[in-house]
Amino acid sequence: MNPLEPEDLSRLLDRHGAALVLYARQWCESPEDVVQEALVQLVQQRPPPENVAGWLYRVVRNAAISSARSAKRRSRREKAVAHRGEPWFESSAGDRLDAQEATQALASLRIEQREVIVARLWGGLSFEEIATLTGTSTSTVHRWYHSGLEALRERLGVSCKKNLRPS
Amino acid sequence: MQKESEAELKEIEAALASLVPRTDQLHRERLMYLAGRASVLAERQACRLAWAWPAAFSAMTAVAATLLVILAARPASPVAAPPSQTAMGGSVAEPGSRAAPEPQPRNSPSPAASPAIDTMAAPGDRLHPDDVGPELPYPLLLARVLERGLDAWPPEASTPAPLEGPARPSSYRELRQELLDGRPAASARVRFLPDLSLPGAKS
Repeated sequence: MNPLEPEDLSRLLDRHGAALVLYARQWCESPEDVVQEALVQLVQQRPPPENVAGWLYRVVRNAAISSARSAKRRSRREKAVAHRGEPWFESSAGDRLDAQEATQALASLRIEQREVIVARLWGGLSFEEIATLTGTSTSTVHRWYHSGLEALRERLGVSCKKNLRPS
Repeated sequence: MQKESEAELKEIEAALASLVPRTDQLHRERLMYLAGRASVLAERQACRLAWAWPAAFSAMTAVAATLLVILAARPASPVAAPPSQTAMGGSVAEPGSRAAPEPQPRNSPSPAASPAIDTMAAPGDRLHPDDVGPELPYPLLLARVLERGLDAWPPEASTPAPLEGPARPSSYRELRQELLDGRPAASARVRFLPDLSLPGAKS
């Protein structure tokens, strides 16, 4: 397999960059650095991995968890994330949900639910890939995903209907 | 009821998916620069590793071939047989005979012709104690003495007479006078003399 070309890296960045940053943000305070390191590592791979997206998510996950552990503030961090005012999403007029509320609702979930939802919704990974990524079974991933969505629906349901903007 | 719940989940799923995660801290140009640099470094390292193994293999092969050539071209060095082996083989010459013994045939039933011993030295390579000059190495000299007795012991080389030094002092006074004079030979001589100092003697 040929090494990655700059165009491939650019495409990867366009396709997965934002989702990877959001994914890493679930654990650490500097997700952009983690994603950047992961992409640089990807370029150094000889040969490059077959499933590039899965490889990237795994590396980002490990690096983000390692970064959080090195700060020894993981548990406090997970709780603090929910209370941090900085939104995880860009707010624009076309959004159906308010970015700030969605951030707060997502941050209030358990880390397992958050991880699965982010990897599935914004990362576009399949349940099998997420199961491989998290080291659990596919049924467990399904359960976390649906329970997380259910919790989000309860938290955002009213506001969702209230704030749903015409698309 | 189930369908309503599924529809609501699909709706919230679609609404969430419409949100765009923030990437304002992810600098594209910087990332591309770092990736290009890392790619070149990885390429260099890969090239270096690709060279390392063939180079090491070639070097080892060359060294092995050189050692093989040296081993093949080395002349056979004479090996002196141990004295006991020579005595057991019965090939020791008669006393007084200075002629070299004939090589022991390989099919000889004697113990010396056994393969284990025979491989230690070729028959032509063996040295008889008589074959060597007066400057005998100790094992050969020992073998000759065991074989012929003490008569075979080579006459001692005439040792040079010790140099006559200055006359040793015969009395305490002379020795004291010699020490006081400070002659250089006195210090060497004093080491071998007994303690001549007398208790209460006047200096």
